[in-house]
Amino acid sequence: MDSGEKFEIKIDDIRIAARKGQTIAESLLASGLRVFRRTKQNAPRGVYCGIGICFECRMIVNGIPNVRTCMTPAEPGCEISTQYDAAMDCTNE
Amino acid sequence: MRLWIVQMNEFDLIIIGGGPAGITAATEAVHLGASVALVDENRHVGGNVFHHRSRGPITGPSDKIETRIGAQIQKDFDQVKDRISVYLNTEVWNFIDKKTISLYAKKNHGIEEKQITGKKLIIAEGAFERVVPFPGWTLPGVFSIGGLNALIKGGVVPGKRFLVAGSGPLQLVVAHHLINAGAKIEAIADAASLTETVATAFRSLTSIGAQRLRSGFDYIQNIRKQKIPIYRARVITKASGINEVEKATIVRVDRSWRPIKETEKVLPVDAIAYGFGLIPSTTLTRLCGCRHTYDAHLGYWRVEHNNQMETSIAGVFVAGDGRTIKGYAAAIEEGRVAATEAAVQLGHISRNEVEHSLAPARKKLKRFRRFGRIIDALSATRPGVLEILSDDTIVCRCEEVTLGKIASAVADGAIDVNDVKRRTRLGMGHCQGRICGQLINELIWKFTGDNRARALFTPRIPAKPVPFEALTG
Repeated sequence: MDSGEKFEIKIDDIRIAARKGQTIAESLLASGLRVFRRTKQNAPRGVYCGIGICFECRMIVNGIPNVRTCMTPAEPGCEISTQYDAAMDCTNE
Repeated sequence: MRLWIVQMNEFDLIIIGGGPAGITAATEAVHLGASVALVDENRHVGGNVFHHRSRGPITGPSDKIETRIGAQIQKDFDQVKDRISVYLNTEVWNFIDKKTISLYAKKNHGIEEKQITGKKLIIAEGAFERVVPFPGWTLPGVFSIGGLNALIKGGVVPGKRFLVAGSGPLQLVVAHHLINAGAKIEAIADAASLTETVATAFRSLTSIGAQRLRSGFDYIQNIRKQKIPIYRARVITKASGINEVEKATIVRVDRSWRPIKETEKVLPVDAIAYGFGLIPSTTLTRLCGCRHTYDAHLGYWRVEHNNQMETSIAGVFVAGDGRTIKGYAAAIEEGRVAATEAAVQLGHISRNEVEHSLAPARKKLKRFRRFGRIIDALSATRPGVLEILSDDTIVCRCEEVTLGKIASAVADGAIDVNDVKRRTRLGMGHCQGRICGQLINELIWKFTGDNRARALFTPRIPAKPVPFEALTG
């Protein structure tokens, strides 16, 4: 197992542990969090394909929406929010 | 956000995709004297097979050889890396012409937009999972098998009680990794029957040899040792739960994978790994304008190419699983063949010299391709499986388009995939039809009763969603 250095990241005001080299999605799943997003119809979504194809795991990362968390490394101090598609001005650019 | 436009760069050869095919092609081309650019959307090369190094509990019977080969091609690449322009974390989103591509990369202070042009181009975009929608498949806790495998390789086990369902050899690999990671597997549900699986094993014998075939049996033995039930001729028909998966239903299927009534079995699971083998990604080869054909035997669209890996567009090559599914060993050889041919066309080496040196690669490829076809045939979905979808089953995950909406569109006169897309928004979301586009022809035939209309979504830019700034630059 990887023994990368540990640090904290924030998800919706909760602090969880992440490890250097992990993606954001891996950190959340390792903490038992699996609901990443709510669709326009308010359905829960989380990681599906894990390789950047399906875009289901997208969240708001440091204020930027639609970030694929399975492709984005966790970094110390990064702030993540569950993405509510219905609350966004435009989810399909 | 700040935007940088970097001046246009020209190379002998651009390689899209830094998996086994891409990095082997890059290494080979540099040795033959070409100037090379390599682009990958990940932050590392190695592709989905090799990038997880030894982070997770990778201990399967076939992993040792995989790790050794991965380390070798990585080492060869690292030795010439300084002579390659490597663009990581970079998306290809447009073809300006056949060999000039638009890239964008997210940087700390904004995005960077770039155009690069190559005299030759190798597209090695890889593969993704073949999926069949089923009721509840959008619930968190349902993972594609490949996705789950990547997570486990990264040391993360996103559930406690697993169901492994679908078809193809990846099921066994994932089950093995789950066992080693300490997860509980409630069941494995394989759509293929035992007879079909055994027949496939025998047919593979001549193409992969006894040693690799035995690693398959080692996987099964390890699963048997854990007393995990393997249900054959079963598919998943439902996942349910409020916010996440709480249980799954599997059902027995007939030879065409049609569910048989009153054979349902409900399993208490909180995670599902699901997939039907892999299919080639054709996003970029289609956007580039290469000719594709539908392979009815394999059940997917593939790009046409000749023995030199050159597509219908002169100077544009393909390599690896983006062409057909055969795995990393074949991808490496195809990368070698494509790069060598590109170097010949560029005048770096004479054709006489290469034909001799490529002979071993071609011989290996023949074997790997035969094996690929056998495995593909085992994984490929059969028509009966479409009956697991009900009217309210979501087909397009992005735009939440149900099977019922597709049926209405067809009833209203839609005749093909692009027609259904216009009427329902299916395929217009973030994934751009990569997931729902796979089976949409088959679903439409169900309603029209006419299987002659066969089309692909018209390729559109951007190939991947890009920030608005990249477009207005």
